[in-house]
Amino acid sequence: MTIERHYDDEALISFLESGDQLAARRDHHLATCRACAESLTEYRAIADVLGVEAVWDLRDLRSEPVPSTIANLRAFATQMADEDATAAVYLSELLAGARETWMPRLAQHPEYRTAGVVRKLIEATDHALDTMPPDAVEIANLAVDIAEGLDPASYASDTVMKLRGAAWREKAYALFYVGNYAIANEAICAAESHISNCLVDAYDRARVDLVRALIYRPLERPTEALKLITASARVFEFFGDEAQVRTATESAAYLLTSTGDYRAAIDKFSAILAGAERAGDLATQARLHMNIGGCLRELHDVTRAMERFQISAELYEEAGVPTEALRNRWNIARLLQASGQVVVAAQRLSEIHTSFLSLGMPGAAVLVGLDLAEIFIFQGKRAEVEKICQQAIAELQRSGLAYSERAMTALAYLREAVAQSEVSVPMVNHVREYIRRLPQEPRRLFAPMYAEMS
Amino acid sequence: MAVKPKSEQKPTPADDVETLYIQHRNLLMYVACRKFRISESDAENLIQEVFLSFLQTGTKIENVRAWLVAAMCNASRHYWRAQGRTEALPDDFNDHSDPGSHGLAEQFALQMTVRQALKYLQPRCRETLWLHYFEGRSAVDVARELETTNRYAEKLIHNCLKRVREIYMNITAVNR
Repeated sequence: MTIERHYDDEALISFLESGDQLAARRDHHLATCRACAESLTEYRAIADVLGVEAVWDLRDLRSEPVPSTIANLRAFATQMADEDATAAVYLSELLAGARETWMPRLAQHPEYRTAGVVRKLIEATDHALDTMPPDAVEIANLAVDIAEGLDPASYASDTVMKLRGAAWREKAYALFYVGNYAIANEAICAAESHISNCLVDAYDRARVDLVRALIYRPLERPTEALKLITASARVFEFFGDEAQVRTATESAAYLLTSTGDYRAAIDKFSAILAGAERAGDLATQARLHMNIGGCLRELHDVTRAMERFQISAELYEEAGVPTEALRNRWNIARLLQASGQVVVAAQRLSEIHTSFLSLGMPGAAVLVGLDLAEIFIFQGKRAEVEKICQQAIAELQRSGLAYSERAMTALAYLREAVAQSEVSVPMVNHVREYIRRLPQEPRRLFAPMYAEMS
Repeated sequence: MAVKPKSEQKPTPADDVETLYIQHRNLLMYVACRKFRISESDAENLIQEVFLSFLQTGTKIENVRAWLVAAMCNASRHYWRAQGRTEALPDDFNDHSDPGSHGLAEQFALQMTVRQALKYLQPRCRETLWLHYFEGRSAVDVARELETTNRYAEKLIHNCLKRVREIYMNITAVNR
């Protein structure tokens, strides 16, 4: 038996001094002996550091903590905790009842206008997005309103600027979520203008840029979005925030789907999924399964796509996120429809339509209605199609969505076609595609189908 | 479906902030004063600002030291831009380092410890390491500068590097 001896320091330093890293990599003992390899790495790290100028400045730095800094930080933390505790009480009062009552109530209660309430409102938007997205938009509006009215001089340092930036970022995300992309883009610009006034801005800017990238995707600016995501990921790495790095990676995968590179997107989503499963993060697992399902659908792998959507819906239910569970059920129903199982699909779409309305998501409800209309035309139930159009117009009138009027024009065209017995499946698809794109392109004019085909 | 950035707002208790400040202050001071050449009094103010930002992040910070060091670099760059001057800054002022290869916080911690180790070295040893590793002089050049033989200069370089590593190991063993 051959006993291999470790390298001594002289030998290791000789490797280092030779400057030939390949020689070290090729060396059999270094390749198999962890202790020697680690010692060489340590020597190399120290030698590298000796090349840094700052290391050679040997003047002493004051090492004692400064009492006034400690006092200031303690005072700030205590004030923040006290404000947040009071804000929790205010919040339950402020957000009582219908969302239309919240802003008038805020106007009557100047005591609600604190940094703590802004922080609590920002926190509340997350939950609202999962349960009632239009509430999230209004909650973010409240946060912005309060933050904009705070006096920066009454708070330490950049507190107010950071809060304003965070409130606008939250508003941008909520608007993006409900499909108001153009206004979301304006909100994210406001967020950036506040953050850029802060002394420590890189981390918050990266968070802003990540939301901006999400908004750019439906605005069909994928190249800029990918650049923003890559830059944000680098900042998050710099700040040692692995969770945000994963978020950025997911955003990049999401973006790949918009460029049609579904296989690359699946690879990225799957890589993050393994980590989410290890961490037991249900919401993230659900989101990733849904995105993988979407990619598989585009690759015409219907069976596997439906499996993923089903898993996602169940995980979302378990995680208490009904809006997303519903989107998955919608995806499944559409796949059933596409595969010819129209009776089951119609039943499911009808239930999903009702659920979207009860969750305050009229834009999605209208699109589901049009899926149903397609089935009814196929089944020869024209009266049902007309009813869907009327109902959708009424829903849009109530919704206050920025693109309501244009969508109503398209639906009126469809209703007219039904009345004239000229309605067809391609016509429904034409209207649905127009309405689907409206959130991204709210100024897009509706063109009747014959005009577009001519 | 889009990725959702979570907001998590949990106030940091005053005692925890004080502990974090005491734990990380010297490293942040090193970053500001040595990497960015900011005066100690101004650096102390920046450290306070960095901690105030940390308290307001609104997300759960996994790696506090990395976050604070990155924020300190960010604040230091802003400091100099606000001063409207960059001529006194090191060449790598805008170097964000390569976070993928080695954590920035770890790099600075390593620098700080090696700097401390250098203080314990004999002046001749320090000079040898300075000439060879900082100025990049060959063993022959070092021998000329120190008025000795090439062979002895090589031996000196090896011994001094070995010695600085020993001290480094002792310091990190104490800190562990």
